[in-house]
Amino acid sequence: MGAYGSQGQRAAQPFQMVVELGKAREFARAVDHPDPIEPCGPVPITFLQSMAFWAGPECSVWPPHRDLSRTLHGQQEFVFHGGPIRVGEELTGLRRVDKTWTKEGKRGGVMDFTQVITDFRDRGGALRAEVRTVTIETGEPSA
Amino acid sequence: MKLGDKGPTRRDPPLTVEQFVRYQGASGDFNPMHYDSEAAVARGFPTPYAVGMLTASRLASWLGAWVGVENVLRFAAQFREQSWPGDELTYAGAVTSVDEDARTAEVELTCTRQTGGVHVKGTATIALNQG
Repeated sequence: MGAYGSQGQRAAQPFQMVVELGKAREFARAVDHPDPIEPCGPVPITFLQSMAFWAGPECSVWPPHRDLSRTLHGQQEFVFHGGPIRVGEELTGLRRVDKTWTKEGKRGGVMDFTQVITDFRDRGGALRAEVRTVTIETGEPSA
Repeated sequence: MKLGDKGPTRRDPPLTVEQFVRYQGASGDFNPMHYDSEAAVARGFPTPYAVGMLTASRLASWLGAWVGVENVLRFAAQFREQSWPGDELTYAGAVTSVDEDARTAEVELTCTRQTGGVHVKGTATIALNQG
């Protein structure tokens, strides 16, 4: 079964993401980015988080209509290869389950951890960035 | 950068729901827990609460202002206690190790509430300038 299946995870479809100037400026303003955003210039460090605009439900490793009432966002990590992401880049993103593990919760009950990695590749297929998301499924409704 | 170097600690003005909404519009995350008071109360929260990726992103921006955005090879944020409208968040960080061969430094970062509670804990890998 590998990393897939214990909580309904599945293989995801790839998605295209174009790094747009206006969107990068909007994001930069929202996160207090220190530098002006210019054509071909670097975008904010966490800008790939706006992949939500590009990736439909078929691009998720999770089944549609997943119950999120017991899900916490534990950690988010951005790793860059070959410098920062720049305005104008055309990327292909593909999500995959990297690993799953469990821990005993402080107040009892098992917590299920899943790390999903989104690999972003450029038009030549070179890996440009990895976005790693850790989510935690708790025994009780969390939020 | 050398071991023990610290960034310029910054305390921000109080968080606003407008900041949450602005980030949600920019990122595409429209979880109503961050802007809809009625929905938040219905789920047992006193008010909407901060978008974790907003404050994590602001921590990344603070890091970028300190070390230079182009030098950030890796940035990770771990979400701890929630943060709320009106919170005054303090951003801080320090170099915890230097790899002279790889020409990289590791830094640890915190985004702390005015109560002293840690809201976001971060780590990052920074490229050191040549020479």
